[in-house]
Amino acid sequence: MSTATVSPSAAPTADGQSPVLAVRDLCLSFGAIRVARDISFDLARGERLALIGPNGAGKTTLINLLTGVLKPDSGSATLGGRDLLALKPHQRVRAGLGRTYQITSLFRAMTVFENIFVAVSERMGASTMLWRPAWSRTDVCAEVERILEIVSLSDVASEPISDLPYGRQRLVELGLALALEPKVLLLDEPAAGIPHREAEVVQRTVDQLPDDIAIILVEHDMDLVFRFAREILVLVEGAVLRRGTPDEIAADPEVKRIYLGTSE
Amino acid sequence: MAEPNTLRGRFTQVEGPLWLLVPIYLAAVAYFYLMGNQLHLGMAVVNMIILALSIDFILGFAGINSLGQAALSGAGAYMAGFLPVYFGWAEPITGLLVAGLVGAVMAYVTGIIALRGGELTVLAMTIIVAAILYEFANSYQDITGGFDGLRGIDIDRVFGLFKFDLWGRTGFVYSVCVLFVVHIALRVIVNSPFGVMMRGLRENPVRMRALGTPVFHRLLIIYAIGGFVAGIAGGLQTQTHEFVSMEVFAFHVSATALTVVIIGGLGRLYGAFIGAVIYVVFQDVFAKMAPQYWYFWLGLLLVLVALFAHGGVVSLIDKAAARIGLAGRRAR
Repeated sequence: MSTATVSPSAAPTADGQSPVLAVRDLCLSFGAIRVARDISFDLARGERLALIGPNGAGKTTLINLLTGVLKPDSGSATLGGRDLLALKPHQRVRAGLGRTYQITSLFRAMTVFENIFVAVSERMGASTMLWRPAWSRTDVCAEVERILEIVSLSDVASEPISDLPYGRQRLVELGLALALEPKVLLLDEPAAGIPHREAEVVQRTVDQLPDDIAIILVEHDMDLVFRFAREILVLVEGAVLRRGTPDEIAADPEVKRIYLGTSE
Repeated sequence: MAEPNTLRGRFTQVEGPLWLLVPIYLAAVAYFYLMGNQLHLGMAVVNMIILALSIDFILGFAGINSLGQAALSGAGAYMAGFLPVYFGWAEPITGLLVAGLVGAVMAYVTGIIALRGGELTVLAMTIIVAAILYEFANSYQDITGGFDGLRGIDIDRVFGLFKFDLWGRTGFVYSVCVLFVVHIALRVIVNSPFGVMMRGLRENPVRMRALGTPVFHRLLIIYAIGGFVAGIAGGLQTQTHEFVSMEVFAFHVSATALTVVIIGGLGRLYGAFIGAVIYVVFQDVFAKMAPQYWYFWLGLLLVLVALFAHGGVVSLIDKAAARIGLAGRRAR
């Protein structure tokens, strides 16, 4: 597997460490419509970055560019020094780019345990093993139990997904992402569409995610954004408008103007 | 049996309990002794089961739609005939393994094209591959024997001891032993981490890709394993009949095997057993009553299954077993 490095974009950040994710000048147009305009940003190890912006600002486009659903017209992105854009979507995952989906995308006829097992056994290289029962791979199973613990799903491990309430399905979604030991985790509206009481559990779990993972959160719920993020990146019309701490963003007149809807 | 609190119980039980093997294969032994004049019918059932297992493996467990399984079994069938006729290789067991390998290679190579695209594309592509092979066999009749079949297939004694006889005694026992080995091997695979991965592919291939699974490559491997089993089914038919014609590539072979799995139940290896028995008995009974119309009764059965037994006959048995507390959770 290639480990091509693109050195110029991996500039050291303030604390001397190279950013785990470095995005430079990503551009994408659909005909005359420019959906990504020179998007550049760095993400340090363990960072908590929220991605906000009005509908159609290009949040999902940016996620899709990073995960490989879309191909940019120009620009570069490196993950841990590797050229992300040269990798296929599944290679990007293996390189350490995890994501959750806005709409849960799980293995519905399988148990919670099996859902996480699929992901863990893929990471641990067990999923091509044909000749032993799955439950005899105690190393994989122990790791699955550990992840179920983190996302507080141990009590329903043997239940099929289709029997779970929606809020807990979102936790499985989160568990799947964690199972891959990502360096960078893209959380796409983790609490969308969940009843308030269940959303609390999801938020608490998000708050307690391991410190070494850099997280990009895409979220409309501003309470969650301001509680979670150490920095916020504001996207407008496919371009980066501002980046700053929650306090700076909250005080920014331009951001206020856009969110109050006086633009256009 | 599957307690939710054991590690085993955290996995869906995709297979019947192990003891089910005993009555099934005892039934085969009983059949051998009681129905000695109908062993060819028994061989047909066993052959159908193996072919149906190959479809259940790829479709029921991994979600690969196929209406062209005859391409894979047919390739194995011809190889099992070519070996003794053109290469003087008449030893049955190695011949059968080569037939399986040819089925696997055929699946892998055609799968590179056929498995691209969505569900219907795959379905159409598998039909096309089988149709192309059918015409191939037709075009090269001097090699394949065409409709009239390949002449001069003479298979050695099994283990140098048991000659394939006219009554099908050796053929039947040989077929049941092959079925047993295939059945156990598939049982092991569907319960392995690979088997869990296969069900993941069936449930949500898009998500599998997002988990870092090389989906297309895995589907190719699964299709090739299914091709191996199909090739064995084809090779077995050639060896036990000592005959093969281009009919092995015919569309109805694929369609029949698929029908068998749907009647029996997808995603449960026992579905192939139940479906094959029902199919062959239906064919036997109703074709005697009204040879032209027996497909009507089969169609009626399919409609009934679709209406009342979603998941095939095996799902009815599951429900009954669950009621008396025998089985664990259902697969789907």
